[in-house]
Amino acid sequence: MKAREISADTFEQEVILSAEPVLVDFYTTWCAPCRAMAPALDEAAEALTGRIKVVKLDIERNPDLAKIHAVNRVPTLLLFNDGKAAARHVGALPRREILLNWVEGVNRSAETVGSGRRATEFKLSNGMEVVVICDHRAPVVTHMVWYRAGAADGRAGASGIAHFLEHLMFKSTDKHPDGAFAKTVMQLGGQLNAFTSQDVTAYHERISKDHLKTMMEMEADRMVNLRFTDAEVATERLVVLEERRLHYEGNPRARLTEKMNATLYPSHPYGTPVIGWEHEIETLSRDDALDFYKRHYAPNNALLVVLGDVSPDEVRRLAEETYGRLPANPQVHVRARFSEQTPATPRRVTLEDSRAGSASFQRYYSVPSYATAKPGEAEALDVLLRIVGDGTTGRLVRSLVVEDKVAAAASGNYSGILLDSGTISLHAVASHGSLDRVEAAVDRVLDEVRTNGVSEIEIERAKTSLRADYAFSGDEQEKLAARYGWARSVGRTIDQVETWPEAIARVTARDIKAVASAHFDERHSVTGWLLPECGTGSTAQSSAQGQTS
Amino acid sequence: MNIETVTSASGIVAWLVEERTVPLIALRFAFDGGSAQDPEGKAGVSSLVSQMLSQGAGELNALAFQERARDLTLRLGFHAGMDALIGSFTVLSESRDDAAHLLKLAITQPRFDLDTVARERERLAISIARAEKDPGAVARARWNALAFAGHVYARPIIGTEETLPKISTSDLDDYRRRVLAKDTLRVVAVGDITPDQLRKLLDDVFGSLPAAADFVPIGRAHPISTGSEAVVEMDVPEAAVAFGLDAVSQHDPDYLPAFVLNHVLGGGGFSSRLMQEVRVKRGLSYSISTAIAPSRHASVLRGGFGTRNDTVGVALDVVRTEFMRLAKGEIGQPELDAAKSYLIGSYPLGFDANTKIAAQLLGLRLADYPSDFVDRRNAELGAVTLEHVKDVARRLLDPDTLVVTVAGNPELRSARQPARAPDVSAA
Repeated sequence: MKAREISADTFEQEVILSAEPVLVDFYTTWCAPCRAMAPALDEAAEALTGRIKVVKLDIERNPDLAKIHAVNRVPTLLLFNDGKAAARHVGALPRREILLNWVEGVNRSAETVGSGRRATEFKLSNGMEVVVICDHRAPVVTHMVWYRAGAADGRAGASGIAHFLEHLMFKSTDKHPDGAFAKTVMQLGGQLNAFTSQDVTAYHERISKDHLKTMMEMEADRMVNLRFTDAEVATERLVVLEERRLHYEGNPRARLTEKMNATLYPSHPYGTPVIGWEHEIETLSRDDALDFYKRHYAPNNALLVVLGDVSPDEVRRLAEETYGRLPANPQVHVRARFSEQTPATPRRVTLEDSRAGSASFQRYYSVPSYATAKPGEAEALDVLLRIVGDGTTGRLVRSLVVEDKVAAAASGNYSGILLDSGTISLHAVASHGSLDRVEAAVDRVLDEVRTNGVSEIEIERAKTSLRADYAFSGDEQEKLAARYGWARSVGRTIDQVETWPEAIARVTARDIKAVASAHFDERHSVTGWLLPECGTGSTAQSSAQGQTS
Repeated sequence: MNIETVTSASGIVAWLVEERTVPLIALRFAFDGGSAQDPEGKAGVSSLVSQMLSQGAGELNALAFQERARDLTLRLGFHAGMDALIGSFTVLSESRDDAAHLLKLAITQPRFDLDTVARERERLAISIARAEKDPGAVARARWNALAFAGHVYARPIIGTEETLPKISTSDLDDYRRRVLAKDTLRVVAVGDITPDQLRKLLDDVFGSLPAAADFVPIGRAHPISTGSEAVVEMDVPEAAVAFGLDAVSQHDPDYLPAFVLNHVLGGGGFSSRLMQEVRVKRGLSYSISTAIAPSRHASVLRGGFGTRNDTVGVALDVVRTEFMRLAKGEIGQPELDAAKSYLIGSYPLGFDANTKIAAQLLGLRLADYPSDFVDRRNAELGAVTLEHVKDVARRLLDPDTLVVTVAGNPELRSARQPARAPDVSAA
């Protein structure tokens, strides 16, 4: 069977409504690579008969379809699954094996980790939400409890309370006194940890699936029965102060980040570090911790994510027997955050520190997050920042490192996981000369993108890279469970999580230019300079001079 | 675990775990060598080579190479350890063959373009500068220098401010020609690939490498056993402490008992004695841990923690006391059973992702374990007896042999006063 010719008239019937996946070759008659691929395409059609339909579409005769599917070069191969473009390849795959290899690969990824549905979601009668994702590769589970309460939900003046409580959660309940929680999990061969962010606090165990119910009993127990003494509070406060010293006081880059965030969000709680300010950590009391616990820790403010060698029915039964027995707490309210009144002005922070090692440049922009963005906007920011900020192929590294040689490294990232705001962060380490030149070079790169947009090939490369990230993170239980947990904690749906690769695939050059113009806006940014103290110079500089001499 | 041993036509041996849940292939491989084979006075060559291997090959300059990798969904990286140069190749199944071709280019025709070498050298210089300002890294580097004085393990893997400028492009080329060879190559593959496909890939990628590596022989290293303390003066709010002593190699009958012992002492996170005594009971540190670090030519039990300058002496006393208690046999069956229970029960957690399985298996191959060790390991751990652990503790955990280094301005008031090594200033 040869690859059949279709047209705009038959596209809907042949492709969109097809029960089987469809490979569409967008081609033109004058394109030599298209002609070169034609025999391979026919052979592939033969080999895939009954599983994947193979068709071809002349874009000169059907220009509207090419536009709709953002095909600007020929040949372009699109694999449609359930009527949606699930994968794209620009350029010819002129040999049968190569073509088949690509089709089989993307078809399988579309089924298993791409558009395929993996998660099941339900709610217990007390309001606790549950997400189950099956992965039967090893007889283990990842069990996570997410509370919709984080550092930004604490009272002003008591910064760090959410994180402090996270530490105290490992103290006592009647059933598991004196730190027995961690010891019990470990004795069962489990690993455990917890983390606090601005919006959520999460506790997780990874363990043999035989012990899932025990984990549920233990997490349910400490959700409502936690106790700790004044002495434990006093000792744990010292531990947190050591943690702060280790990660912030002794680390100039972390301190710059802390100052930049405080400047970027002067009135919103995101400007306060999750771990808290040192002088406020020193005042945190047992009552502060208990108050936060009672206000926020309850099944109706929690999300359970179970991933691993389990079935949704089994998890439902076990969850009902454990968490399901806890009463909902009517004192728990849906959190209400005020919106930031951002001063629309560029801000600057400079930190001089002898431990800085080398001079570096940072810039943060406050931008929409996935939770606050207009449809498609956050996805466009993800693609934009991959194009601008990829550490090896992005615009910044090309311009600053490869061409101008003003920086030794340059990168950028978009973080859109928080509830109230997203952040673009740009970073460059100065090579020779001053940070002025680095900053000017960064601004030139951003101006260019704002003015002229980005190329199709860059867009394709960025999308491929993001799609690969998505697939790779599906390999690891913790990362996959976290993907669902983060999203559900800020109100994103399972469907939005699982169709993210498709949403990324729909981003156009115009979308990218629009978000670049709107959000590379200095008035919503803070620029940070980290300088080794005067006179110390930078090791990087002296070494770089050394090799040229 | 179903580990198949696959041998290619040219004789390259790989371990394979076929796994098709996720459409990706994780290939991990290692060549003997690492920083131990850096030429005299040129520490850092292996690190710079490993950075350069993904910075252009064949007709592709660095940028073109990286773009090609991105387009193929390939994550390719190399890093130098003390004993091996390790490669990591992860790709979606859809572009496996093209990605393999790129890998072949990287290891057989790397380009050491002058401007790219200059850039990567500068990046390494920045890493070195950062490490020299990071108290934890300073304490560990000083520990290696002190404990392994006179041996190649005393040198920092990433090199120093002095050695880096001395490395020439021809040093890089010499190193890769000496080290990248078939006789010490170890490969593991996990994921969406059949044995036949893997055989072909092995020959395609590695088949044209030289048959044998050309190594400088390296002797066994034992950390100094007389005990020693050294301080590197640094103006930091929290001092970093590194400590350690001689341990046993992986194929020594005492290794598994020592491994369990380490878990009790400081390897077991919250459940470990050091974490309980130093963090939970006294609030002296956010984190303290120990590990047995076996390498090709040495094995040490080492640990570290951070604490305020004024509590370094107190915390070290606690550490020494815990070494002493275990050395005197103060460990009971329940604590041993809890440790074994964790180590046995948690073993499968390292095998739940293709990339994790690959990393685990490469670790076993590097230590010359047979592939059935994965299935035997838990039974062998289960058979470790209390008597054996006590015996190993008595011989191993002598606090008088501890080598301790501190970066900071510590008060060592309650620490003993042995011959202190001369202070080194990093200011």
